[in-house]
Amino acid sequence: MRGSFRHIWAVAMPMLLVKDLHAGYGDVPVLWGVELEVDRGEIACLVGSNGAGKTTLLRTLSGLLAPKSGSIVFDGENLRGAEPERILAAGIAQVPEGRRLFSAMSVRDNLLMGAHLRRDGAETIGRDLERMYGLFPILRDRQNQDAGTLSGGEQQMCAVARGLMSAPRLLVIDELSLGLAPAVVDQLCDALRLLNREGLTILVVEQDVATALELAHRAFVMDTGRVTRSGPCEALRNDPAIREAYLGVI
Amino acid sequence: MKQGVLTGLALLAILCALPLGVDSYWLRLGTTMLMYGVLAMSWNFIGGMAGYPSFASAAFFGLGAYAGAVAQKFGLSMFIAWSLAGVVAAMFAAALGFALLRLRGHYFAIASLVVAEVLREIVNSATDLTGGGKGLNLPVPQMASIDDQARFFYYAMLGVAVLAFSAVFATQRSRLGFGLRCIRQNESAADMLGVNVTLYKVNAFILSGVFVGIAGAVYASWVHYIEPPDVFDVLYSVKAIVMVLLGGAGTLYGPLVGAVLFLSLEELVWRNYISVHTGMLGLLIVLLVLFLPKGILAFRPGRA
Repeated sequence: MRGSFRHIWAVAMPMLLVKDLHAGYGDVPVLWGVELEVDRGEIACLVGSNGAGKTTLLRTLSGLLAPKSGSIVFDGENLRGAEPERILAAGIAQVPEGRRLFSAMSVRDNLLMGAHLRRDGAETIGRDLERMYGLFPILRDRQNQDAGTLSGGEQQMCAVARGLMSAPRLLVIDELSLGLAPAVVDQLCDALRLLNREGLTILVVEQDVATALELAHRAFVMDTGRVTRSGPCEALRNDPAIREAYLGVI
Repeated sequence: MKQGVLTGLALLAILCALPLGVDSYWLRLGTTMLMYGVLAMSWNFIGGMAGYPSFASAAFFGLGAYAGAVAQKFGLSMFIAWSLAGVVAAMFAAALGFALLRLRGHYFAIASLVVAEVLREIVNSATDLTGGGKGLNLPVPQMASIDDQARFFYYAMLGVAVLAFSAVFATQRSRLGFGLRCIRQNESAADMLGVNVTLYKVNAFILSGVFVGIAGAVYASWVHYIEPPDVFDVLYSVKAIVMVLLGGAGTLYGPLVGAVLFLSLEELVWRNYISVHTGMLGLLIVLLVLFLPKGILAFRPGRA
């Protein structure tokens, strides 16, 4: 009885389930009971204005910030308050806001750093490195260059590829399009769609709501520390309130 | 890599041959140079590789000196006392590291700066064990002549320097060295990629303490007499940093080059203009920060 129940649980549960999550800095609460779920194989997006708590939520998800209460369950594993190392090992990789590359290290070394925790041998890691160069050919040309010398778009590609090098099951990207040229954003979105078709689950945090709603299947709208709205992107695109608040059309 | 090993061996051969046919003045200078080299190479672990501006060198140096001296007071042989000093410094660095390495930047620098002061006060007041402000005499090793003694301590300090150099060499090629460079460039990104940043930083701090501790104990035996203001002198911390910055932070040979250059400058100024000695150090720091932020080795030809 119990066994079959757990089986149903595993199939029916979303890949990432965040429930009633509270977190903040010191005495200042930022997240007031966030509810979020990401299903296997989908691209989910998290949108919201400045100060809504998006980055705080991601810092909590990656273990850089300890939550005050609530739960984070990933593939049946409770990750609330876990160390960044364990979260990464569980299969969640993050591409941080502002890229955060190791600017004085070569592109190749940056990518290899992404595989820091992996123990599956140089050969598999080398194959994955080739896959990254296939996904973003410009990185192959720049592989021996210091990451700090790349353009903004190339740096974002490098950061996404570095995140992928840990062979995650869920890739979380903070501010995918921030400060990038529209053509580069398109290129990144194409790459993410391709990865998604190959089975990767993705959670994107975006300020550019139009881009996010176009890329993702499901959206979560955050406002003042809570998820105020969620649903299929298509539905949200036609929601008058969203159109007025975030898309600038009435 | 192969060329690096050859350069290292050639350097070692020169250093081994140096005491032959020089008078005791140069021998003393050579021993001091090696000691400075140990200080600089050690600081390179935490300051150069991990990017944490530690001022704790003086604390490790004094702690090592007193650990070695007290151990010999209780009848342990000199070599065992030196090793013990290394162990004590390493353990102290580990405990201190877990506490202090939560701080970053200026906060870490200031916190590490007061450690030597605290230790000095403790040693000052623990008169039964350390002799307090009266200082502590160490047994003089029995040897044929004063020159033999000087040579012995030169080679002892050379031994410590070789240990420290080997540790730098090994670390730079290891996972630890790679991780430390990542921490220096972007600690939160390193954390996010699964680098155990706390453990790595503590390891770097231990490496920055252990050889300085041994060097402190060797120094204590060498000069036969230590007192708190001498071995807990904040200048040991400052000099270590200046030497590394002079040579090139985070590099293999930078600290050594910096140690040789710094000692030469210090000796020249000290000998000729003793009253402006400290002012000279200040001037050097200002010039370094303004004109040579990456050190002398940045001018090496063919550097990527």
